[in-house]
Amino acid sequence: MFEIKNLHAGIASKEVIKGLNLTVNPGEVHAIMGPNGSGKSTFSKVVAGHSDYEVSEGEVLLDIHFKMKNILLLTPDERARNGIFLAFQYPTEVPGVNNLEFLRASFNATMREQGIQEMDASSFEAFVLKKIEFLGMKPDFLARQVNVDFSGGEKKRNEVLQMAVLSPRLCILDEIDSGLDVDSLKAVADGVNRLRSKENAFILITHYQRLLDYIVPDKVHIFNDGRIIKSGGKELAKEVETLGYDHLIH
Amino acid sequence: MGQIVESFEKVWAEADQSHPPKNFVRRIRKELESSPWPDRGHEDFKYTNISKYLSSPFISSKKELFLIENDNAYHTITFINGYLTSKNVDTQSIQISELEPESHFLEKPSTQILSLLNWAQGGKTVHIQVLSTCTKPLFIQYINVGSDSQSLIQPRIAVALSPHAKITILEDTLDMGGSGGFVNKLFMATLAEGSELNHYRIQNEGHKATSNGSNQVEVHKDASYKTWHFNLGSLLGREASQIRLLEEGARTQLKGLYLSTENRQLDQHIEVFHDSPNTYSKQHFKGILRGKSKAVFNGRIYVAKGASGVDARQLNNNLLLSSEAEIDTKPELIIENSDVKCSHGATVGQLNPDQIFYLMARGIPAPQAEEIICRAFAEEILFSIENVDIRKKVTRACAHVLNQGGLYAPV
Repeated sequence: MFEIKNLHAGIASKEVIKGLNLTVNPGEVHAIMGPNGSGKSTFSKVVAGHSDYEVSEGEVLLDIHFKMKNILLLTPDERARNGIFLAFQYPTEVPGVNNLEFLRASFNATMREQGIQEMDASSFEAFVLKKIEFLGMKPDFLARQVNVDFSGGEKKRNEVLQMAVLSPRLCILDEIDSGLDVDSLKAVADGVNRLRSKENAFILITHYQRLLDYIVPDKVHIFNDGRIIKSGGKELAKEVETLGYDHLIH
Repeated sequence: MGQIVESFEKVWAEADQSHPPKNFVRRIRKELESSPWPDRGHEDFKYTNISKYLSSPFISSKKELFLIENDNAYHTITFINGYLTSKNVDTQSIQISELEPESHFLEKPSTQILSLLNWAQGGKTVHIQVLSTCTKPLFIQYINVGSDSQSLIQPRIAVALSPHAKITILEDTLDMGGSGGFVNKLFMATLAEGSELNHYRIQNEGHKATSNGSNQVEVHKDASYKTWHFNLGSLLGREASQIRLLEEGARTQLKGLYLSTENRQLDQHIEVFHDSPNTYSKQHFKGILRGKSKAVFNGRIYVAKGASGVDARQLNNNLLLSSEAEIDTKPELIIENSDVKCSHGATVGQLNPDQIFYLMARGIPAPQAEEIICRAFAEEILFSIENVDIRKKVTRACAHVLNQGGLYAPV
């Protein structure tokens, strides 16, 4: 359902992704691990369509209505409405914008794209409250401004809530574990696990094995210098934990 | 003969036929005869070449009739093309009459050139006396019908609040497809001891018009004047307020939004005079500018000698949506006293690309993402509107401006 072919991309004419290949099937959880500066975050921004990054070669294919389409030709909002979701490492604060209203605008944009009736304010609120309950979160999230004065853990949980509302098919979680204490990490991981299904897939970008104790991946990829240098099962993450990246790189 | 007279002598001659000018009007005309248009050396016109907009010879607007539907939520008085045409006021609290222009309504009348131009036309001043508290707001409705580039529309209103009277006044314009002209409104108010006026004004003239709204208010002991300005329409839309806090305990709050688009220019000039000790003022104006538009914020605070215990605050925030838009923001504090609290601040920012990307990454198209962020920026002012019905009216008017040009999809 999602395939990256020979992707080369970078920022300000400096190549960061240097020939990346990856295939993700529905129901799978992939982990991408690698040292700082290996291009993991760049990869997530390129897939989401951030305009600072330029693609020089390759394709990123997504199954849209049973056809593999190159999403590099789509704008970030079109990609999102077609099922790509990037959970940000540093979710952006948007002062003055109410979280519930933001969620509704986002949800309805996706509904419009799929030709489904948009939801009015009250039925949407009821819908979100169910999601909040399902994730074991507190409803006071909704009345607050988007990510403003949220703690690190709250910001990440807000990303999980958005994921639950939009039901994307491919979620890329960019260091969802960074800056979280163990309790928050467990809560976020628990939310992600609840959202896993046969229809959707996840790519977890992380430095640490710790996250993978809570969200168990099907495949682990080691990223270095803009490409995957080794792939394996969940045991590969343990190897990194014990021996470090250097051992795998050299 | 001066340039100003050349533009307005036709109007004056016409006006004199139906209403011979009083000495007061003659005196003002004489003063204007010797004055040229203020150039950019004048502080109020530093960023605005006013003669460019007002050099064509003007003629008086025509008297027209127009069927008006009254909204029962308001007492309503209606001006068509600047002439008082109907009153729908069913309360003893408000009395409306027309006065000769020589009546010196304000203790310290303004000498601003555009308000003098309003006086120079002669004609009567609409006098609104608020004798006691009126719970229903008063709606002053201006309707402009069939104006052309030469028509001159100059309504003049004087409001007097009796001691401890309270009222809310809304001024709004309905432009019926006029193609320009000069709208030069003069609104004066005097607030007696302990009275309260909440004053909302929507500048919503047609996009080819030049408009000026002079707003001159005198606030007496313990009285409160709150105003909200929404500067939205006109090719050049100028709003000029002079608020005098004449006696102890007088207070004022001015809030405003200006939404400038295309090649238009919106100016706000605010002067607050703290003439007495223990007087208070707060100003907060926000602007959103698009295209090649321009805006000016010029906020002056005077604190007179001996006026101790004054608290005066001013804040101006701007959001520029295009690299070609221009804002000139100029706070001025003139303080002749040490025992005062004064503060001012101005910010100019652009849309934050991280915020836009975040919203887009959640499926929201770029124009709607921009609109959401602009609305959030404006809402701080919109939410401060105390009357719910007026808040809806204003929000609609603001959304309409932001939607023009098709950049903003409705949410």
